[in-house]
Parts: sequence; C-alpha cells; structure tokens
Amino acid sequence: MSNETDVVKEISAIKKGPKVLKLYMDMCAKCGTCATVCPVYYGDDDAKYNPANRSDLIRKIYKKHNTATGKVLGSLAGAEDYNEEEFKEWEEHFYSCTGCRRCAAYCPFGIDNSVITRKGRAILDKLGMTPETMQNVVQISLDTGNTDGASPTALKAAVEFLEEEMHDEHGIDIKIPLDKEGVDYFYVPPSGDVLVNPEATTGIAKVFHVMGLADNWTMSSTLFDGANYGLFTGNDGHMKADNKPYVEEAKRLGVKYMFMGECGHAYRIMKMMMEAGGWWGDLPFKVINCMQWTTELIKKGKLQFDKSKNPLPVTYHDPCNFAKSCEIVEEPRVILQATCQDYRDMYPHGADNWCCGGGGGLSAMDDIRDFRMEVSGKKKMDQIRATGARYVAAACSNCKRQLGQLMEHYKEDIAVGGVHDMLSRSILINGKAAERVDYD
Amino acid sequence: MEPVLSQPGSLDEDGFLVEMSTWSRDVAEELAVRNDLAPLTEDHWLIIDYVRKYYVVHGHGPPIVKIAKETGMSSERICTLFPCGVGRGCYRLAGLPRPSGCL
Repeated sequence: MSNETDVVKEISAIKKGPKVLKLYMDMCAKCGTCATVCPVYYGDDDAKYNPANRSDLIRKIYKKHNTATGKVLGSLAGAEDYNEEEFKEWEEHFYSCTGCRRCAAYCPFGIDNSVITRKGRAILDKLGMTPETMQNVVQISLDTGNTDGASPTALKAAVEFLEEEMHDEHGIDIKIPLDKEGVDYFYVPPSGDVLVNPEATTGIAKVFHVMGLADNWTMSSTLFDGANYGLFTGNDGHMKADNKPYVEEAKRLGVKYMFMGECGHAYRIMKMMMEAGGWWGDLPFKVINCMQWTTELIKKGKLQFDKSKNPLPVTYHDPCNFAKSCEIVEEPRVILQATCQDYRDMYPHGADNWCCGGGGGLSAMDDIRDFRMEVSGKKKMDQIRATGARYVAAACSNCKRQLGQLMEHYKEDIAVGGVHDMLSRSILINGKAAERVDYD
Repeated sequence: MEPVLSQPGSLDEDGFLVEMSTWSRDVAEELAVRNDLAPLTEDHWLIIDYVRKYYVVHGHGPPIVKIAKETGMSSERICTLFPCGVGRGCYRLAGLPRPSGCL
C-alpha cells in the first residue's frame, strides 16, 4: 500500500505548525554552505549526504502541495510530488544526519536542517518505519524508565559497591543516597554511568561530600537514566511519556533541584524543552546541570585537586546537545583544567565543534556502524589525533559509545570517558586524593 | 571449526553474540581471535568467568571497578587485557548481550 496520502498530509501540516519549520520550507538558496560544514559530507561528498538535498526530500513535496508557484511551475520552482521509490530510501537518508546543528550556525538563512531531519523521522515513526534498534531503545525506556533496561537490584548492587570503592580510595564513608525524600538535589545520570562507567558518579558523590551535602542529595533506584530517544525518533508523545516519570519522581522526592548528569540530550530536553516549554505546568524544582554546578564551586575555590593524579594529555569533545543547544562549553573545560595536568583543546571546538559522528541517536545503531566509522566519524577522529591526547572526555554516553568504537576501529590507544571521572581521581578529601595509581 | 560463529546471524553488527546460550569457552576463544585478543590468558579467563557469574545474578554486567576488586587486578591491567574497555571487551567475550541504548 502506498504511503502517499499519509506522507503528503504530514508534510502539508507543516503549514499550520511552528513558524520556523514553515520558513525552512520556503527558504534555501542551494548555496551549499551546509554541505561544507557537515561532518557527514566531510566524510563522503556523495550528493545524498548534502544536508540541503536531504531536506529537499520534504521541502519539494511541501512546495508541490502548499505553494502557488510549486503547484503551477512544479520542478521549476523546486516542487515535486511524492515518489514511492524515493520514500523507501527515507529511512537511510534521515538516519544519516546526526542532527548536530552545525549547518544551522553557518547557513546564511539560519536553516537548521536537524529540525527537518526530525520531521522526516517523525513521519517515518508515524508509519511504523523507525529503525528497529531505535524503536527497541524507546520501548525499553518506556517500559522500565531506563534505556538500558537495568533493574533496581542491579543499580543497588552497583551503588553499594561504589561506596565500598570510595571507602577504599579515601578511607572514609562517602555516600550515594538512594530514594531519599526531602533532600535538595535529585541526581539524574546518563545511560549506564552508574553501572558501567561509574567514575562520574563517584566524582559527583565526592563533590557533595566535600561540600557537606552528603545527606542532601539522592538518586532514584528506579529512574537512573536521563536518556530519551523520543527526541531521536521524532515522536513527541514518546519523548514526553519518557520524561514525565522523572518529573513525577522529583516531585515525590520533594527536591529543589533536578540535578542532571553528563548527558547532553537529557539536559537539553529537561531544561530547554520540558522546563522552558512548561510541559507539566509550574514546577516546584529547578533543572540544573552538574558541570555548571561543579564549575561554580571550583571558581569559588571550594574544591582542591592533585593534578598529578591525571598526568596524561586530555582533550574534551563537545557533545553537540550541550555546546550547540545549551551553551555549556566553558564548564567542562574549567573542570578538566583544574583536575588534569595537560589539558588540550581540539580545533575548532565549543559551539563550532564537529560532531562525534554518532549524534541524533545514530551511535546506538550498529547496522550503520561502518558509516559511522568511515563517514560521519572521520572528522572527529582526525581532530582527536591532532591533539595527541591519551584520554578524550565527553559529557555524553552517546558520544562515548561512538568515540569508543572509533578508537577500536582505527586501533588508537586513546581512552574515552567522562568529565567528572577525572575529578574523581584527583579531588582532595581531607587533603588527600584517592589512593590508587592503577588508572590508565 | 567455528560451529557457532560460522552460522549467519550469530553475531550482531557490533560483534556481540545474539544468543547468550550459544556461548562456550571455544566460542570465546574464537571471539578473541576476531577481536585481536588471542590467545586468551588465565587473567582473561578470570575476568570472563567473573563477568558471566555477575550477569546471572544481576541481569547486567559489572562495572570495571567491581571486576578489579573481585579479580584482584588493577583497572589498568584490565584495560590492557581488554583494550576496548569493559562493555566492548569483557562483556563481548563473555557472551553478554549488547547493552541497549547509548552503552
């Protein structure tokens, strides 16, 4: 059965939707600037990877059905009707954009192709054509509250162990409170940060301890993964359904701050969409980010470090969601410069950074692993190599997965981890850093 | 040779076993060859056996620091044995399913 009616209907609805997407349908001079700054097009200059061409898949159908010139002049005005054969390739096209928004910063008209990509994915999702891997992650998260489907038992075992570990490191009790009501801070970590890459969590626990707030924060034993793949599949309903339990949990715990961990898209959704957009009405708490919080404490001189614990050269990869959508650029650098002996920036960086090649959820899709390694991740690998760093920090599990695979693919001996990981290894507690020298 | 891994569809695109039940010590040896980790040493096996034991109880792989503590090996030693890290190294050889999402 043809999907023509549904696709045309969805695209025509853009006319009555948010103004910005409607403007993107009208403007595009085909100047090619977006292609020259796109990480995917950098890796392979095939015309299908040109962001303007990808966006045209939607734009031309919009023009055909919704503009006078498009109806009359057709292809002369950049308008073309739905084509079943082409639609079959939509999944490949819209899942080869990482949604990094680098094009938006350079486009003379300010066209943000990631918004059009998300629209394309939303249409695919409505028609049940979201790639299976992505659909599974969404479903697991809606079912369990966590994208990795880990159980409260697994979390409790990990937390108990991390407390023992910190005791071994510092000779004192440092807590990671669970399900504690009436505290000020509710910590929402990124995917797997407690279970698999736990050093960012111990780093944060140590900051709370040093600040005398050990009894004033908590994690939830049921909701411990801020990742939200509804952003990536374009399904707003799923995105909100995935978000709501976290907001409810923060209310139940009675906290003043929802304290977001090192996950770019989780923070972006919570701060820039949920809080700013008032999804659930007035909130009794504020959304804050752990890196901003720690940075402020470092600037006030409240935290001390032994940098010699992190002697190897370290660089920072800016996750696009933090750098381009949340203006969190300086903070991770303040933390890494305070905690590492040899911090090196890659160029360009900050809001002008190049995507890791796994943005927009692509990192979770191993059926396009070769594309991510050889095409979309190519520029990032070049950038990291040029720094000579032995550790690349990224405040995002999605980036970390992609970067880890890049190191494996290109056989580079460069470790990948988080930002607070380095803090955990070097922060002074009672004048002493963690007693362990075995980290690479 | 390779009775399990030669079956099409036995591994996912990231080289993880699709069915954990198809794992055996021979399969792990074969995975080691594919992942440039062969030959597996006693220390590799100590870690692989521990990871599998932990998974059965918790339904999830153990964090690296836990592996370090239980096996008495330093994190550095573990990273040398499995250069791709815990998830992509130890879990994969131990036959654990690929964690979903960003991991």
